[in-house]
Amino acid sequence: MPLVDLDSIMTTPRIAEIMVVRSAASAPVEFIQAICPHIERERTDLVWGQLQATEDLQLFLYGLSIRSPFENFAWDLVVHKILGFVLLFDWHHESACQEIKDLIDFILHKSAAPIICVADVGNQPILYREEIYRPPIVLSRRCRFTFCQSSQPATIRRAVVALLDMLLNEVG
Amino acid sequence: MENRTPVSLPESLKFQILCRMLKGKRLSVLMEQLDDEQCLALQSFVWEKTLEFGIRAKGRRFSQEELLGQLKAAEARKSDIVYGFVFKGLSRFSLQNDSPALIRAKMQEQVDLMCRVANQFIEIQMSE
Repeated sequence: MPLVDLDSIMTTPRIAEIMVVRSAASAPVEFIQAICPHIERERTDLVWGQLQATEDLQLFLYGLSIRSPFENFAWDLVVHKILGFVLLFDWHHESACQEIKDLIDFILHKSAAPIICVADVGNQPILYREEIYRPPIVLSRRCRFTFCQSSQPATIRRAVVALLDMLLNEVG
Repeated sequence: MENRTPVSLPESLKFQILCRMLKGKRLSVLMEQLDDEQCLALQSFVWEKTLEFGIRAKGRRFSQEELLGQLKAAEARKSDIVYGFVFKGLSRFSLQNDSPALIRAKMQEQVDLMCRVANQFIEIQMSE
């Protein structure tokens, strides 16, 4: 008799969790909506959505504002479960860049998960040719940089796919 | 010649450098806040990204010689900057007789020069 029932393992639903932290007063609702057809919960500073990636794999995306819950957030309990982080910031605001800079150190210290820094140009066009930021620019093995337009869901999905690629490369 | 292991820049600093490069801002301002070892690491990172932007922008048409040629041409216009300074890495402090302040000033100029070349690939105008 086998020690492990493989069938029961193979059919166990799995959950992959990704955290999106936005350097702004409100949670990244548009970003999460671009990925998840179903939004579970939405507050000013928090949004949570899920995507059924395959029959037995669910992708959970948690969107946080860097502001209110951030300092009181139970990071030590949560970060170990997070597969990867998206750090979203307004490309046109210098203070947002500074906030993300500080956050990079914080997360790399707390977690071993990869990070993708995503500069959001909002409704404006991305000023650079696509080949400059696609594939994302490598800052280190665990940290990359790219652009998105929050008004264009396809650009958001590309950023998340880039993070998933980083995760797959880690496994590979 | 002195060989030292280069320091690696924290990701947050690399992020800041990259943002400034993409926005066409000078890095010499940022270098003023760094120590010598960090400045060397920054210089190396900027060189790497300049090459990368060249490859991304021009693909197979890009060659490192083209980039070196652009840097050479720009430096030739400045008689007080020694070509090769940027490419001799960590040995430069022991090879040069200049004062640390002068070396740092030259390094800042070269980093800004590399950024200008990178900006040609990115196609933005340098500001600030």
